[in-house]
Amino acid sequence: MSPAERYARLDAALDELLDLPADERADRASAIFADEPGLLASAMVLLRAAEDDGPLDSPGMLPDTPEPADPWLGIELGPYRVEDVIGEGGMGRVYRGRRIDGEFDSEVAIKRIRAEVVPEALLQRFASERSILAAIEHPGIARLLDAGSWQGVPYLVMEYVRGSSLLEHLDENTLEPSDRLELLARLSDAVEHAHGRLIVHRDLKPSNIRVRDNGHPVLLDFGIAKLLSSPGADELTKTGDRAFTPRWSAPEQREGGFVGPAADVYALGLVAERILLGTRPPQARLTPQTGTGDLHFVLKRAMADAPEERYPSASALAADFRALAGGLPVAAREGRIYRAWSFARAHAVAVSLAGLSLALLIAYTITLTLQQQALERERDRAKQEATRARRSSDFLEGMLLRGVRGSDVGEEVTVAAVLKRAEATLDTDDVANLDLLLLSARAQSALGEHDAAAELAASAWTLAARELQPGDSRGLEALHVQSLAEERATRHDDALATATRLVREATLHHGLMSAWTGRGLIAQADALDRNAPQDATPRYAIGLALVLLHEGPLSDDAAVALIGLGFAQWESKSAGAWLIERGIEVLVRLHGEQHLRVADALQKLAHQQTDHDTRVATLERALAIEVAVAGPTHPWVANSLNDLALMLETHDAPRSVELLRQALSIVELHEPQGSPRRAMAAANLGAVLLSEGQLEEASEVLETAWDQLDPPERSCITVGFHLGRVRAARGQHDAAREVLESALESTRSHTVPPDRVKRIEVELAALPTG
Amino acid sequence: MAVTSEPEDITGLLRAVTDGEPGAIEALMPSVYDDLRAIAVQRRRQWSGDDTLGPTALVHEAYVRLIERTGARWYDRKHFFAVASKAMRQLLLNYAERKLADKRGGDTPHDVDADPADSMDVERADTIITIDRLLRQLHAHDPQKADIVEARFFGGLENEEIAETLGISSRTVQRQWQRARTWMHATMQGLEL
Repeated sequence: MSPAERYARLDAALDELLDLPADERADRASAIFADEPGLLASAMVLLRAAEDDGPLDSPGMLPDTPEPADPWLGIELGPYRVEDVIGEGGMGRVYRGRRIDGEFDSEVAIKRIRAEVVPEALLQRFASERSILAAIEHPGIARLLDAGSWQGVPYLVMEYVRGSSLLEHLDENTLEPSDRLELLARLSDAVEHAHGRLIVHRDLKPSNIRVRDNGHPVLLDFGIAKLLSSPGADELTKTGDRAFTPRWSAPEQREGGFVGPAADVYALGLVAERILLGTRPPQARLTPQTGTGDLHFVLKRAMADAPEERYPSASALAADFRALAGGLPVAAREGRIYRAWSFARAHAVAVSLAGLSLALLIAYTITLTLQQQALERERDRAKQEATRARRSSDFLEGMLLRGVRGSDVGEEVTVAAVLKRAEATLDTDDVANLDLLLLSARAQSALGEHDAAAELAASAWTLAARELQPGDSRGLEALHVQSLAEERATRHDDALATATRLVREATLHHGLMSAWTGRGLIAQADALDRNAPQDATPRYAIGLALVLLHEGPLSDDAAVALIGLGFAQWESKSAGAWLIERGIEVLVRLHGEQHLRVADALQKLAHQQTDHDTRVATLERALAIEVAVAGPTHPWVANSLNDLALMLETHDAPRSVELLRQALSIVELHEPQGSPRRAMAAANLGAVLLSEGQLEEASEVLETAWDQLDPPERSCITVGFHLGRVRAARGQHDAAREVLESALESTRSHTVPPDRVKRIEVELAALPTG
Repeated sequence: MAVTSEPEDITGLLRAVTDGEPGAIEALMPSVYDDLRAIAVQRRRQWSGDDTLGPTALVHEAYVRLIERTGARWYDRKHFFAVASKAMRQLLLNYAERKLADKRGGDTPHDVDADPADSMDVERADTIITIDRLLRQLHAHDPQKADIVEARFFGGLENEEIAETLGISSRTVQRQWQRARTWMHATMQGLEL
């Protein structure tokens, strides 16, 4: 009897038995199971259980007892032990901890983040951002040492700053005004340091400032507000953040606008007010002028309502705090020329690295600050763009409908097919379709159909030039999209011509220093960088300065320029690598790690790195991204495998062979027999196998590739060369001669570097005669 | 900790549960679980004395909380009770496992400072784990009985509520419950299922 039958029999019997009075049940059970003693025994156990009380009869589960001690006390989080509670903040409880792995004895602060503040789903983002934060090293900034989660509750481990809180420090010490100003200047220096690494504090306030025993201030929680910002907030607009303290925040922050370095400058102004005048927001905004009145101007400038009216950088504010302390004239009172200087100084690092003279940039930036009007126009443009962004989902829907309508029922609909069909029905003469054309162009570009994208963008430009006001941003956008698409289609000359037209149009209608001019310069540089890096570099540099000014450091345009500049940099590889790394930081902050543009930038970074292990690590990272984004068998992955394998060839040949095998099998999936890429993948694998002495496999791979080729195809040169060497190594001298001669013959139909020809001849000469 | 869903998601999930979509209950569970846990912790902070933190109160409060939070017009409580009983079972099971791990001297982490697991005695924890295990065995033979035990023991529901939830008469619930508890207690005494 199966367990199921047994259960069914017993349960049916139980149903009957439970209807009987308790004292009749045993007899009845004996009657039912008279011939089945096993079942009877079980039935008797059931009957006893039916009469007795058991745990299921009392569902009350959790008797209450007094609150226990904090369970975090005494636990170990990695190398840190939680020791005692030192505070309770908005985001959760703060503990003092100690590093206990014996490495060195140091105190840390451990912040336990309340679950409502960071749901576990955000922890991954946490992990990616914290590596950026952990990279800040400055005596004025408490370092983020580690982060993790314990039982789903996230925590941060930070440097523990001995000393006192800012307000205690002010209460307990009699500070001269110059001491207070120096303290503020040091704070501003620290903020500037982080801004230079594209990190904005966003929650600067007295409770986030401690003062060391030597009187130097230290900022806590740098970048944490960003880390804790709402996951639903649009990354690009930086709106909707909630992790800040309204009383200590800038107007744009309270209104949900773009929160950039200027918000921290504003907050520094509020803190300065508190430190110098003892006022707290929202009490008395700016008490009447004190002393010479310079302080009034400094605070007013730091806390201007419009971000672009404030100090252009924290370092400019620091300079004025020091000027106040030394009784020197402050910049807040001076004209725009001074501000331009500050801008130039703030961005001098990137620019001087680019090999441009600082003077040239200052000249440009002075012109630039004078073009305040152009700036305002740009702001209006930004507003229009936002409206258009809202409408673009309607466009997309409309376009998809156009495309889907033409398809048969049950037909599998691909995005590419829908786009194609939609475009066929688009009237490229109707200005109402301009946005649709632009959107299609961008979509085709995203699908890798660069020629189609360029053609659509060109129609959009023609339409805009004919129907719209000169300088309309949609026309400029069309040129921009067209140029990028042409560049990606490797039509460098077309791309350069289009970009040049963009620069001309932008300069003519928006001024030399407009954001569109910047974008055009970057596009020009992209088109130039392979053939004329010396012309690309200054364009990248000026373009970068312009997009930094108009869009701030966190923009795609800035990333493109930083990476382009770093790649074109021919003076110093390390400077180039530095710039590309900054560009990658921007991309990662905008799009996350898993993005093909990050992978592409990493390939460029590897190119500028000189240390073998670092390069390998960079390429591995790029490969991981491609595999994650495009899947393990995408053609891009084959390219990266190939690059990595060639890098490893002399250091780790077995791994190199393995990677090349993978690359070849991917290429075989996508390319027809005899295609050049397939031939090259085989040639690379065959060559490394040969140098490793694995003649069998080398022969198999190369013979197969050779059979698929028709001399004098170009691929015959390389494949024939390696195959000839393999045949020679296997003692097949005649066969080797035959294939080498065929390879040599093929060189006559192509332009081939002389050393390549020479090497084939050498191999031939080395063959024994007869 | 389970992922806390956004109110919009929850409303959608509630609808999916009401429409009987497969997998919807499992998808909604983390949110209900979080609510239950939060309530349990809150209760433990606020209450003193010998009050018992029973599942009935927890489940009903979680229901109110969910409705308040989502603004969902989800009048069909029965579906919620089915989800809540499962969530409650999971919650109690987690507490019980943690309690036993503590007893064994393991350094098990606690996720909240007012941990309801601390108030559970070891014997009770053992019982809960045993019941959970046997309930899974019972479910293999007789899913309806197992659902009734789950709703009654873990969800703290009354027969009427269980009847509503499972779509059967309360008389059937009563009869099935009698047999289900008998089976469970008998198997706890060693009877093979």
